[in-house]
Amino acid sequence: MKSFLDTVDVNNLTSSEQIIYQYFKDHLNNIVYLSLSDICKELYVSNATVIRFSQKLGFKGFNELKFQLKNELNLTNKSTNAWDTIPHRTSILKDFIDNIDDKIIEQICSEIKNHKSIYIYGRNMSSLPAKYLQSMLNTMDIPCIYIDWIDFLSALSKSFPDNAVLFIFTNYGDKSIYEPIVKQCHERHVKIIWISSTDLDSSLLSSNDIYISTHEAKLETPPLLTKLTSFLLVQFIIEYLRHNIDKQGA
Amino acid sequence: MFPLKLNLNIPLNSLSNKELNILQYIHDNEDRISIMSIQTFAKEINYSTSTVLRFCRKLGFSGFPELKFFLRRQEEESSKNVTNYSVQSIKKSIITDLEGTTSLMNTEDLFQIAKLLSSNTPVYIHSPAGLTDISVDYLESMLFISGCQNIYKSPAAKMTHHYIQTLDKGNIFIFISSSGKFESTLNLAKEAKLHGMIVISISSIENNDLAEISNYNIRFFSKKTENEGADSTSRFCTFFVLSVFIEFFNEYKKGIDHEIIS
Repeated sequence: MKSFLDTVDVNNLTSSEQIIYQYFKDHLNNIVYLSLSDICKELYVSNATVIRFSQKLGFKGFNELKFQLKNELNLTNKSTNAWDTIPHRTSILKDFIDNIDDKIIEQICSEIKNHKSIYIYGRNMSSLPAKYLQSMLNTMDIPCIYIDWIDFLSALSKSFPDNAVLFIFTNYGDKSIYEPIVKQCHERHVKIIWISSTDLDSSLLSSNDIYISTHEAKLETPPLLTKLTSFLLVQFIIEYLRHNIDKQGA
Repeated sequence: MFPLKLNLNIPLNSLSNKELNILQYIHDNEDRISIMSIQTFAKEINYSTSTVLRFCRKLGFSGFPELKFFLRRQEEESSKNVTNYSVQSIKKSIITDLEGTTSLMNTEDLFQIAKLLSSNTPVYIHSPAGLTDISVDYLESMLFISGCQNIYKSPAAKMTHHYIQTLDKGNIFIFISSSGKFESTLNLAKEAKLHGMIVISISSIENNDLAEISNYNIRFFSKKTENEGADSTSRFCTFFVLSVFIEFFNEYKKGIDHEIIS
């Protein structure tokens, strides 16, 4: 990556300034996050040396140099710029929130209220939104059972009671794994509410079931689904229930 | 969410501890305040009337009655808007929490924490039981997926205590507390600091001791709710800051790899 640092005449620098210069070149991407005192600690030089160095390169001070570097980073290398992470993440979530269908949330909540037995299933990363929903429902005096093993789920699916509702949280919802379980649930008239991070094979579910895809985009490296949109859905269900239960109590 | 309702133009850190307590009290008892006199109010919170008065002036009101008037008007407006608690109003409140949390996040601290965690120093995450455990598990799994080594979860306060006593200085301890005031977590964090550990905390915006004693801190908005003693405070903002941090952390690691290659 080219930067203004390449145009500096190294011969004009003192020995300690050359150390700073080298450090800046080696850590180009991260200098913008470091404070003056961080750099000084790392290099064993005084604040004044770094400031003098910045001034020698024609800046008023270290902050101006940092600003220049940040601008260059923005122009040349988008992928390594972590400054954008937060606003980017927030905007994705806001779009997701705007697109949540009010009716589905209301429907899910009425299923929770109208069914006697509530089961919640999720494994691996999906276990976290599942556990969150279970803990929250329990604190609201709605008893429910959390299942974290697929073997438990397949055993239980043979003996679900009448009037049961089953929440399934998955990343991918592989058809070959879940098909026999879903079939057994349908035979026992269990209402399935499936929250999946990616699109499911639509032939898995019947028209009576509720299915929400949270359309989560995977982070590239590492291949990670943060499940944040699933958490968000759970939060909606909880808030809606909380306010509507409170009203009944009052 | 008091900063929105009271629309404070002053930074929270310019308020004294006493004044923060008053603010918290108003926030928790908004509907009752509007029918109180300044004497009953002062008595209830055990401060003098002049402290309350000074507080009102600091917020830009002429006195207590104006604050009351302001609260009442806000109440009327909000009751006009929300006659029925719908999904729409949940959307609004979650978005305000989200935006508030976003504005609180400080890249300097995120950067420092990312730098620490990629240094291969052992990291101990205290798991205090209850809903917070889910946040702890979330952080733990995401760190593993991001290729971190040396992440140890401590499942009990006694275990964390043991770690602090026996480990060398300079290990990293992460504490998560939605209020930042949970006593057992707070004591452990203090102990860790005393033994020369690096303390990272993830806690709410509210003035809290946990954030103050830790070396690095990630904050979020949180409003305490409970049902007859059972904690049901929303953890969504905790999940949000954790996932943002992980994304940031991976960007940071990419940046380092980039440097090594070039």
